[in-house]
Amino acid sequence: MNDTATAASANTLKVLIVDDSFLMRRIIRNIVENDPALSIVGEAEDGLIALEKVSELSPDIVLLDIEMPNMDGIEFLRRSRLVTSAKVIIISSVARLDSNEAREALALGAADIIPKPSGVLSLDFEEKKSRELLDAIHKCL
Amino acid sequence: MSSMLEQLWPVFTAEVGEKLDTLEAMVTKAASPDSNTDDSHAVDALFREFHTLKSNLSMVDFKEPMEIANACEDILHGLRKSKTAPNQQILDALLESVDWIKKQMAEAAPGQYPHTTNEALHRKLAPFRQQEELLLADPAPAEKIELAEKSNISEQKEALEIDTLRINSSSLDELVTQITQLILAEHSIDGTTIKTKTDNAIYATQQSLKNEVAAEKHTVVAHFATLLSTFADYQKSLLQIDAEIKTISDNLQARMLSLRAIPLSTIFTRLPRIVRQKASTHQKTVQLFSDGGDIAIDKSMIDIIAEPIIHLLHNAVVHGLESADERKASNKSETGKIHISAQKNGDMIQLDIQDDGRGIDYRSIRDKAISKGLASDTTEDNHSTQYTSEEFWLSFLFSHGFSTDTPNRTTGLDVVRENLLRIGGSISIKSTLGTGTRFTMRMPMTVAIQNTLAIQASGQCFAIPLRQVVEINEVTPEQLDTSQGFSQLDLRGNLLPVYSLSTLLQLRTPPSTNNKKILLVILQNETQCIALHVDSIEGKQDLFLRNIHQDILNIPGISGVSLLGNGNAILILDCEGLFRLTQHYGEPLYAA
Repeated sequence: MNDTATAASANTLKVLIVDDSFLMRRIIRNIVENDPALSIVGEAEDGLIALEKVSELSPDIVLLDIEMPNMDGIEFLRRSRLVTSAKVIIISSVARLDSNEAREALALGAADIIPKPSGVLSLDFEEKKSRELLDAIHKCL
Repeated sequence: MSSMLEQLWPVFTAEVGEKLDTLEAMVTKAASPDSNTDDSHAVDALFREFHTLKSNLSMVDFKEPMEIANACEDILHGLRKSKTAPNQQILDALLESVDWIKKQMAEAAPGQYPHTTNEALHRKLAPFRQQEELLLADPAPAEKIELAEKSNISEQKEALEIDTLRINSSSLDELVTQITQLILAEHSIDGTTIKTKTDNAIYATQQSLKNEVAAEKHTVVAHFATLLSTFADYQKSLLQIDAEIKTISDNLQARMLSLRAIPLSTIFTRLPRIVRQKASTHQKTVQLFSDGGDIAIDKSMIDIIAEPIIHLLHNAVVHGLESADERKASNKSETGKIHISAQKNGDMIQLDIQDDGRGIDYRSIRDKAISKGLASDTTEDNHSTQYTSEEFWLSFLFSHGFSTDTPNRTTGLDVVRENLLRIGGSISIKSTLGTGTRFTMRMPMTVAIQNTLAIQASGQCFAIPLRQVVEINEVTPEQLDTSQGFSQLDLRGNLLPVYSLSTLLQLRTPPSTNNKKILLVILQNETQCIALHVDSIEGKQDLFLRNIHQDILNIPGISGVSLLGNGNAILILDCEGLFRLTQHYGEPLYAA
């Protein structure tokens, strides 16, 4: 019984979602949950909480927002390298994809920067945008 | 399967609503005259809030407000980079943006948006967006941005209403645990088993009795004893279960109520805005301070206290505080100050609203009260000495119809007082000429649960809120004092008029006067004390108020309705209403 459970979770990649917006976390969760290769192990609403959760949950992937109170995504990246080997994927607003923060994030070892799935909450784009986000995540792996 | 849009729409509106409220409070705070203008944290936080707002709006593809939010985000991004504080024009434009997005949100439904663009607003935001470096210097006064003034109190009250509650997940878990316990306890009363077992016991005893009576044996008593002990056992276990269910449901009720509790800060953060608008239309600068925002009150109270608070703030801004020139002349700072503070006293909340304005001269109130025929020169002498002259005369401000004809700060204070009394609260005033005025409101933390005394009159059940009940007396008709021509109860030297509840409420069945015993419930408010004759006392009852149709609320003497455990409705009496009724049906009981 235990063995099957371990085997099942060994086949899926553990994901931690870090974003200060409850709505964004729900959206990302809804999308990621549809991917059998990924399983969500936790959520954090700022970098500080995320630091605790990476040690506690040892995720394989961290989906990270940049702008957050208390500790932002850049600072989290800087500190998390010591405690986790998880791939960190930045999910950021389109307008800031080529900003200083973005370049800094990449320099600090972020696997990639992918745009937030704008328009995903609409009847026309839900499928397309969800697909795009999952594809972008998979490209980093 | 419903789409993600439909599924997450409530989350979206809740989060965006929250962001907009936060932004409104933050911008208003930054705009207050002595806010710390070098506060880079404030700019950071503003930027983040607009950023999240924008990305939330972009998730649902709500383009027009998103573009406005984006422009605001850009402006703040620039300020953040250049480490500059926003100037007044920027703050005004930000506030207008928040307002406009709020309006768009109000008209939006999942996937259906109003699609209105606001070119004027875009034009206001544009200059600050493109020329970040110019912001270092305060630009020459551009076109003045007038905020639409909501003069109507009820409109502003709407802004304070709360329809979404965020609940701590651990509280919810505890609730679920308690409900599970309740269900388990309920299941342990297995009605069928109890019935079968007791039926068997009865049948067995009946058979034995038949046989033994026929055989003339004398073990009959023993059989009765067995039967009785069986019943005693069942009774014991039923009582145990009953006690358990009672404990659990009491806990459950307390927990439910704490879920409905909202910190006062939810209202407090929205007040500076209201004060600012009112002040700007009256060419005054006013600063609002608040403390005690962490005190939580029941959701039901928010709607009730919002109106009095706005009313008193309006009064303070318009009438209480002087103009800048006047203040300078009397050696005060040009900015008027209003302080709203909350504190908890037992199960009551006290709210103080204090201004540092001109104060009220009690002598002018006295003259006016006398000229309106509300009082005479000797009124004060007849009054108890527990009040000072000032307190006594200032309290006339709350009298009905005292002053609605002049633009005076007392407009509508009678209504404020009325609303507070209705829920078992009170209001008082202190004022010092030249230094300011303080209104003090007291009210219960919840109106959802009422502790009442259930009584009967004319065969009908009523509940009297316990906080107005002083005591219960049982007397014989002979013990009542009728020397004045009507019945009075001599309560330790005080003569209280006796009224019948049936008469006051004009119930069809007249009170029974030929009873040997008369049951009297003594009721008290700030000014009056009466003895209310009822037919019987049913005991204490905690009632959860139900929504009631407005037409019933308009019946004098009735404040609400609730359901009893047996499913019957019970009317809750409004003691203030009863006191008023005693004046209408002036004749006390048993006139000689």
